[in-house]
Amino acid sequence: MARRVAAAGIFAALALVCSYVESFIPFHFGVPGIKLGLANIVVVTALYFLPVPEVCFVMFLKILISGLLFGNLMSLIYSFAGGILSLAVMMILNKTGWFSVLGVSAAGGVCHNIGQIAAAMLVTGVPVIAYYLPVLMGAGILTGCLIGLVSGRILKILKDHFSFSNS
Amino acid sequence: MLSDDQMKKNDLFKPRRSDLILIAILAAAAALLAVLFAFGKGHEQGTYAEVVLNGQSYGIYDLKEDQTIRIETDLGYNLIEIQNGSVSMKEADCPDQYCVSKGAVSSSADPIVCLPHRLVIQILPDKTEPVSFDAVSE
Repeated sequence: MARRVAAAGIFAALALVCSYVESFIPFHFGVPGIKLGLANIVVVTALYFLPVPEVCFVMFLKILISGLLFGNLMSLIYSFAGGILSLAVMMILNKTGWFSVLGVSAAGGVCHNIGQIAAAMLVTGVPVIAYYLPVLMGAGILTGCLIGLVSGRILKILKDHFSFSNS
Repeated sequence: MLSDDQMKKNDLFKPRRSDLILIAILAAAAALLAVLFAFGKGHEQGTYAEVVLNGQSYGIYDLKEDQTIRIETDLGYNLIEIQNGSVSMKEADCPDQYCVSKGAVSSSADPIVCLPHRLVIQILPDKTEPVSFDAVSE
C-alpha cells in the first residue's frame, strides 16, 4: 500500500513539474486549447505503470493543481472535460491490446481536445465553436504522437529496472 | 497497469501497424470535418456580429457601422471593435489573449472566442434576420 501511494505521489509531482516547465514555453497558435501537454507524458506512462485508481488520481491532481497554479477557474473546467474523456478512451484502447502506446496516446490527444471543445460549446452556448474542431483534432494527433513516442522510450527503460506488477 | 505476462507476450511500447492505421483514421476524420466545414453552409460574409455572453445573446451589431463595444463582467472586460466591415477583439484582460491575437474576422465560419470570459463573437450569415437588432441599437 505504501509503495502504491508513494509511486502515485511521484507521478503526480512529476506531472506538475512538467506543467511548470511548459508554462515557460511561449505557445501561441491563435486557437484556444492547443498545448504541447508535457505533463501528459507522465499520465501516459502512469497508464502502463500504475493500477487504474492511481492513474485517475494522478490525472485528477495534475489537472486540479496545475489548473490552479498556471491557469484559471475556467480553463480548469475545459481541462477536466478533456482529461476525463482522453483518459477513458486511452484506458479502453489499452485494454483491447490492439495498439501500442503510440496509438493509445494519439487517440488520447485527439479526445482531450474533443472533450475541451464539447465543454466550451456547453459553457458558451455557441455551437459555432465546433469550427475549431478540425484544427484541434490535428493538433491532438501531433502532440499525442509526440507524447506517445516519448512515453514509449521512457516505459522501455522503466521496464528494465522495475517490475510492473509489484503493487 | 500490465502484468509481466502481458509485457512479455506483446511489446506494447513498440509502434505497430495498427497504430498507424488508427492515426490515419483519426487524421482522415479531422480532414473530413475540415472539408465539411469549409464547404458547408454558414461559411459566408456577414453584415451583423452577435456577441454571445454566457450562452446568451448580448447584442447584435451592424458591421457597416464602425464602433467599439466595451463589455464588462465579473470575469473581466473585453473591448470589441468593428471597423471596415469586420470585427476584432481590440483589448481584453483575459490571461491567454487568444481572442485578441485572432485579429479581424468577417466570416460566419470564423468566430472570435474568449473562453476565460465565456464570450463569443459570431458573424451572422446574411440571410439571418437580426431579430433583436432594433432593440439593441436603440
